[in-house]
Order: sequence, then C-alpha cells, then structure tokens
Amino acid sequence: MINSKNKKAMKNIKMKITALAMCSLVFAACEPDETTTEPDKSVENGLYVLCEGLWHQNNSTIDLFSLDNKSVQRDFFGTTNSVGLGDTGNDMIIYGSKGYVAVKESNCVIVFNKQNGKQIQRIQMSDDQTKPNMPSRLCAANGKVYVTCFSGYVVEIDTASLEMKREIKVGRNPDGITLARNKLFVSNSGGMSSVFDNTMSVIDLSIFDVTTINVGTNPTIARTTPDTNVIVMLNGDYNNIKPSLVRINSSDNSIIETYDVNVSSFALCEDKIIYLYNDYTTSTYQIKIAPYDDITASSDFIKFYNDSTSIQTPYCINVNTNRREVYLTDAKNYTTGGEVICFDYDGRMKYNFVTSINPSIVLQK
Amino acid sequence: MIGNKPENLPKTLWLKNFRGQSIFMIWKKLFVTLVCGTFPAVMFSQKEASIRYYQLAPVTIRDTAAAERHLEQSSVRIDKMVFDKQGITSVGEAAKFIPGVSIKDYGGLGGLKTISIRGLGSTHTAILYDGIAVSDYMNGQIDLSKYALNNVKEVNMTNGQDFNILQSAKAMASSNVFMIETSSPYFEKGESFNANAYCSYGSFNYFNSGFGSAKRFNEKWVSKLDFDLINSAGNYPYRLHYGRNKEDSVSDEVRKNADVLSARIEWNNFIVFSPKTDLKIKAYYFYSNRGLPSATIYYYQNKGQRLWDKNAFVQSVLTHKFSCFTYRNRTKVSADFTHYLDNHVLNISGFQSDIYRQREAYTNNVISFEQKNIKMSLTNDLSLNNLISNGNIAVSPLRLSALTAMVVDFGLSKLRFNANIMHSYYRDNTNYARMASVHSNLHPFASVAFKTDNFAISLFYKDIMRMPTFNELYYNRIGDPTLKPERTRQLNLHTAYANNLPTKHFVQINTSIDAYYNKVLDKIVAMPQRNLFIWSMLNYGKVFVGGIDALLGVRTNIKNLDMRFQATYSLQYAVDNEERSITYRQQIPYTPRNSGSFFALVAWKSCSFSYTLSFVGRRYALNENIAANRLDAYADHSINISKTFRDKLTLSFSILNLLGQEYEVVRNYPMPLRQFRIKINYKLNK
Repeated sequence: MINSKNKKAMKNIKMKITALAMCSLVFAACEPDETTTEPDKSVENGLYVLCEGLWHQNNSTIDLFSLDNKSVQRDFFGTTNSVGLGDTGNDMIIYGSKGYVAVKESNCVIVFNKQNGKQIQRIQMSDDQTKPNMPSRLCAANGKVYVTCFSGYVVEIDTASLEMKREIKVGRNPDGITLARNKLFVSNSGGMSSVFDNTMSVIDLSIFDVTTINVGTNPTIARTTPDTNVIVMLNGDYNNIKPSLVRINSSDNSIIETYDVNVSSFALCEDKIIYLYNDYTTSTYQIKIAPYDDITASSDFIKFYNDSTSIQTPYCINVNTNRREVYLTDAKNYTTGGEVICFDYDGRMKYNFVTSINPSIVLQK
Repeated sequence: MIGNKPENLPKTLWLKNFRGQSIFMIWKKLFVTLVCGTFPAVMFSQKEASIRYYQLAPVTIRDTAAAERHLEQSSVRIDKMVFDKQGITSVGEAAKFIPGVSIKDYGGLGGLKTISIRGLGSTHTAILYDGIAVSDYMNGQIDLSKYALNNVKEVNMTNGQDFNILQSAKAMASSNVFMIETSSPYFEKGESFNANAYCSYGSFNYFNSGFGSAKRFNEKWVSKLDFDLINSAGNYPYRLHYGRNKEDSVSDEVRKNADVLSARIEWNNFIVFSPKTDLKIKAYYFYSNRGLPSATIYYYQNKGQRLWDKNAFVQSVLTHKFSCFTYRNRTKVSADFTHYLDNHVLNISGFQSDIYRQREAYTNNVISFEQKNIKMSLTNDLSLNNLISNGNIAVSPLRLSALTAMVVDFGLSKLRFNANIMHSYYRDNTNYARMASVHSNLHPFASVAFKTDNFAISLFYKDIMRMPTFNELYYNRIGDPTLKPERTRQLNLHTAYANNLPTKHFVQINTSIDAYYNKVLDKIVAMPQRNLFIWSMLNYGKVFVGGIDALLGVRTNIKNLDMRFQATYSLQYAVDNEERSITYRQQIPYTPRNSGSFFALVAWKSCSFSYTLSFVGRRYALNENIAANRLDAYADHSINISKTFRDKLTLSFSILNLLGQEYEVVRNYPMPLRQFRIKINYKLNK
C-alpha cells in the first residue's frame, strides 16, 4: 500500500514531471536563430566571389553579388547546381564563356557557364598521388587552361572538349602561375614540406618544355606586368626569411629586382601595384600602392572608406579593369562569413558586402 | 568473505526485507538474482546508501572512487546491468545517456569519441579509471572509444567534484569528473574461481571477443585477469550529400579506411593485509591499430592515414586505517606511444610519420580524519609528465605538477557543507628557452546542501583552471608558450528526489533537476595569424553556458516482471561571450541547445528487452549560427533482446540505429546506419 507520505511524494513527483515536460516544450522552440539570404535568380551585372571555406568542411562556395541591387546570393553555385563546389576552392578564372575553379582537396577542376552559373563539367584529376593531384592555380592561354597541381604538375585542359591534354612536371607544390611572352611562369612553393622550394618553372608553350630558375624562398602568387614581365611574391619561411616581391624579366628569365617587403597579397592595376603590407611587430595591416617598377615609392592606397565596415583581416586583393574597381577581401576571423570591400582606383570606397567564409577571388560575371 | 561489492549493489531496502537471514544467504540470493537478471538492482544515481552494507561484510575492499553516492551530489551513473542489457559496447556510448554530456563522435568503432560536459570542452573533464586520472598532456583529450565496457562495472559523471574526502587532488582539479570503475571479483562461499568468456559478431565484420577470470588464492589475495579484442572492418555504407538542401545531389558510398584492431589486457590484484589495510594493483596494456577515415569531402578522400596506439601502465591504491585517520596512496607509472602515418602527403618524402611518446610518474597521498560530523583531509598529487616527438613538438617538454588540497566535509543533521581550497603548481621544462612560466594558483570549491531521506537540494561553486596542453604551448610554429591557463567558473543548483521506501509493487522513483551557470575565461583558441598558413594559439574567447539538466528514473517490479525507465533532458544555452567576436551571443559549435535520452528495460524471468533512444538537437559545425553550418537534429533508436539459459549462458541480439537514421555528430564524419550484433556470454564458477 502506498502510505500517505508516499502519496504526497508521488504528487510532488507528478508536479515535477509536468514542470519538466513543460520546460522541454518551451525550450524545444528556442533553437538558435539563423540568418538566411533570399535567393535572387535574375542577376545581369554581377560579381562572382570564390569563398574558400574551411579545410575539410566541404564548404567552398561561389557567391554572386548583384551590382544592380547590391545584394548577395550566398552559395550561388550550390543553389544553382544542387551540388556543392567541394573542399577548398583555391582559384577561379573566367575565360571565354566559361568559369573555371580549381578545387584543391576535392581534386578537381569545375567548369561552369559564366552566364547562368550552371556546371558544365567536373574534371577529376588523377586519383593517384604520383600523378596530377590537388589542383591549386589556373591560367588561360591560347584556348587552353593550365592548372598547377600540388603533386608537381601543370596540366593542360582543352577549353572546347574540357579534357585533360598534356601534362608537364614542374617543382614542388606549385602555387602560382602567370603567362608572359607565351611562357608560363610557375611558382614552386614547396609549402608542404618544412624545407621550402625556391624556384620557378618556366614552361615555353611553343615547345612545351621547362626551364627552372631560382627566385627565392617559397614563391607563390605570380602576375604579369604591363611591360610583360613577371612579379612573383615570395612568402619566405614564416620565420627568419621575410616575404618579398621579385620582378623577373620574362625574355631571359633573369631577376630584375627583389623588394624586401612584408607582403601577403598583391594585384596589378594599370602601372601600379597594390599590395597588402603586414606589420608583424604591431600585427596590423596596410594596403599600399606603388609604381610596379618602383615598389619602394609606396603610399597608402585607401584614401577614404566609410564607417559601414571595419577591415579586420585583409586577405586578397583583386582588380577589375573593366569597371576600374579594386576588391579587398576580408577574412574576418577565418571561420565566419567574410566581406568584400570595393574601392575605385583612387582608393575611395564604393560599396561593401558580406560573403561566405574566406572570400579570395572576385571576378566580374 | 573477501571481495568487493557485487556488480549491482542492492539497496538497503533489500536488506530490510531479508533481515533475519544470514549474510551469506543474502549474498547468495543477490547473486542468484543478479545472474538471472530478474531483479536488476537499482542503478539510478545519487542514492546508493551502501555504507551499512559495507559494515556488515567482515572484510571488504573499499572502492577507489567515491563509494558513497548521495542525493545531494550532482552526479549520474550508469551501471553494468544497464549497459549489458542495452547492448552497447564502449564507454563513449554509455555516456550518451547522461544529461549534460555531449560526445564528439567521429563515427564507427575506431572513431575518436571525446566527452564534453555542459559546453566546457573535453579538456575540462577529468577521466578517472579505477580512481586514478588518465591523462594526456599532449592534447588533453581522452578517447573514450578505447574503453570497452566488458569489464566495466559502472560509469559515473559528477558535476564539479565528488564529495568523497579520500580523493586525489587531480580528481578535484577539473570542472567535471567522469569515473570508469571496473568490475571487482566476487566469490560465493566455497568458491575460488570464476570466469566468463564472450564473443560477439556484427555488421561490417565487427568482431569482439574476450574473457575475464578471477581467482581467490587465499583469504587475502584475489586476482583477476581480463582480455578483450575488437576487430572491425568499419566499411559501413553512408549517403554523401552534395549540399545542404533536400533537392541536392546524393551518392551512396562506403566508408573507407575505418578499420580497427584493438586489444586490451588487464591484470588486477586485490590484497587485504588486515581489515585495516588493503592494496589494489592494476597492470594494463592497450594496443590499437586503426585507419583514420578522412572527412567525406566531395570527389576525393585521402585513404592513407593510420594511427597506432600503445599504452601501458601500472597503478596501485593502498589504504590504511588507524584510529580516526585513513591514509591512502595512489601511484601510477604510465607510458604512451602514438604513431600517426599519412601515406599520401605531397611533401618531399611523400608521407608524414609522427611519433609521440608520453610518460608519466604519478603519486597521490591523502590523509583523512573523521570525527562525528566532521571529516577533513589533506591530499597531495605529484606528477611528472613528458613528451618526446620526432619533430612536431621539437622542444620535448617535461612538466611537474603539484596539487595540494585541504578538504572539509561537515554534516549537521539535515545540512551538509563540503569545501576545499586547492593549490596548483605547474612548472615546465624544455630543451630550449621557449617554455611556459611557472603557474601557481589557488582554487576554491564550496558546496552547501540540505537533505532529508528522500529529498535534497544543494548548491556548489567552483573556480578552477586547466593548463594549456603541450600542443597548445609548444607545437612547432603554432604553439605559444606564453598562453595563460583556461579558467572556468561554475555555479550549480541541484535538486533531487528519490523514494527509498518499498511500496506494494516496489515502485521506485528517482529524479533530479540541475540548473547551472558556467563561464569560461581566457579560452584557448587557434586563430590564423598573418595568413591562413600561420595559425597560432591565443587566449581569446569567453564562453557563457546556462543550462538545465533533468533526469527521471522509474523502476517497478511485479513478481517476475521488472521494468526500468529513465528519461533525461538537457538544455544548454552555450554562447560565445566575447564582446569583440563576430559571433557574440551565438551558440558555440557542436553544442546542442536541446538533447535528451530515454531507455526502457523490461526483464521477465531470464529474458530481457531494452529500448534506447538518444536525441541530439540542432548544432553548428562552426561559430556562425547559419544554415550553412547547421548539423540537423537526430534521434538514434536501438533495441536489444537477451535470454539467459541455466544461469550460465546468455545470448543477446541487438539492432543499433534501428531506423537507419542518417546523421553526423561531427560534420563530414557520417555515423553508421542500421547495425546488427549478436553476443554470446558464458559464465563459469568453481
């Protein structure tokens, strides 16, 4: 028999159970809020923004920014194709009517229609570690797209058939490529080992053969100057050897000049170079502009920017010659959404917009 | 009679019922009921009033961990009876039924499983194995998948710390403590040997086999040997989603490189010198060789990563009583070997091979004094830990830790106070000038409780810290030796009710509700510096956690039918509390706001049926609470049936993830779908 003391206890329990059940009902409704962006399909003038995402999260995206109504469609590629881009989109170019993205961890190059963003083809690099693998950078030339692969290859993709054609062995972990005088200048970073590489492989496209030149420790981004020479950024060893910019004469592959400057990204804008300067002692960043052939004569690029943004972690610099705009991407804390801030050539901020994680490349649609 | 308490310690009510019979008869009855499985003893938390029982036995070996469980203690335990009948196999799985606990599970049998309690992160939980802390100074995380349940008697999670005054200081030096207690041998009168052997087979070539045998050599010495072997191909099917929307493409895949082979051998000795002095010695060896499956990234997955673990230790617990004092010594010597190999790396050599060796020498001395209502103790831990690696942590750190605590426990009719002040001292030594400075701090803990026979309410406050791990301090390029320890502050209000009285049908109810408030300061986070290549460790974050944990257990018994139910619910409002952060006030990653569990066990004579459910609400894989980072809620249902023949042979069959629910605990690490397992267990007594 349940005695009276127990009855009372039972009643207590019942009350508690009810209270508990009510608690769970209340709290079940209080999941965290999410912010979502409205899809906007009809974008005539827009910018494609490649957002790298984070390693092993499968969250690389291409966001689309509408220049007309200044709105962003996050993960435009994913929503258009019902398939995500993959893991770590490392580089993107637009060539002819197509866009190309090198997706490093997913080991493929994705080709999409420039107009509507529809995927045309996924070109899977080899599954074998000793063959082309981990595509990193892209460069277009003579109706072909050249892909550097971290396994130490440059692969030629035919833009009509979208098939891999020739491949050529270069140095370790190539992480930059540019075309000058029908030659491809490929930066061999060697970044996957503790001992970095210090060479560039120069591929003469007329004979499809390689010569190797010494440039300095850990070369990465390479771009072609208006006088068809090459500027390459050296990352250094992140320790004693500091970063620098090296100008190379593309006709005889000789080094014209080396500028020791703590640079982490750069772009060319007419006869100027705009670069990201890191002050390691104060952990601050500055955006500098200088004549490309006299980098020491630098000044601050940003003349004016308004309070609608605060630049936190400048990440990459892109130039759009068509619209005469400079895009500075901000990675924020690298794990949350980033931001793109647009300036005119005179360093006056025009507009800004938020993006997915780690925006790097900005191209006009 | 020698031996520890049987697997399922009966409650005092059984004693009352059996009053008048000899102790031996009681033991025998209990043992029979235990084997038959018709009277599973109560396993609900916080209510084991076992003291009286202990006093009745002529010679017993006291538990190394807290033997006393009280209503006023905010803790939950799950015992062998339950997990045997649930058909679960690892400590990591058992912990899912404890409110407030989140298990980070990388999927599959060999997948890493780490425990995080109340939004505090895995480095804030002390894991005790038979009363002695298991430590990893390299990354601070203990992989619970290494601990199979076959020889485990119970697991217990206590918020804050246990009230036991004979604890080591290490057991009190973390925000929460998770205890794993292995089974102690038990013999009936006239018996001197018993053994059991088991074998289990299941989906994806899961194979588990082992034995446990105990021998009583004489009145003073009992020895127990356990061996366990697990092998699984881990090639389970999963569905890969190429996007987060329902209409996005999918493909059916098979998990690769998720095989595991592991073996454990454990030898325990229980020596009773006199009723006042006893000693436990354990020798332990663990080996595992497993594939590390890659995240399921689209189109290409690295299948070249493997991990070898070897772990050996010897530990002892010596207890000696004299007048109103008790002295206990715990000693441990341990060696760990970890080898990580990635055969697919695009560096000069084409592979990456990292070897880490950790060694530990540890001793704890505690002396307690007990007089009427007051108990006091002084406990001191000294440990030396080092790490040697073949490259990534070039400085070969060595750490001396010294923890000293003064504990007071004071009871006054219905009130109980328990408090301690701890001093911690950490000193690192490295090959180079780069080393952490000496940290010397004081940490308070205080608890006050009001209790009656059936009801208790208690409040505790704890301020503790964890030292940065060797990885955080010294990992090449990334580590920062100037890091400060991560601090936590906890405030917990606990209420519990348990009816201890037998009713006509033995309806027993046990419930508890906790409301808590946790703060993490100087949280250590990895942040990229300068660019994505250079990450470094910073004391950047703050976390605020407010939450509620609730548990309700019911047990009824009608003749041969025994039924038990337990439901738990947790609410965790765990948010980024750093004002400078972009994600200020957003839920921290991998912490569900709502989670819960339920299980039901029904036993009739020698048959039993169980149903278990674990529910985890929506979580986020990254800091930002947006749809792109969302991990959907899931519910995992499992069932198990078992039957025992002639008290000797038990056959059981289980279906895990009955509904074949697709889910991920960690993003891009899918969990297995439906699995079947069959197990056969044979007992032998002589």
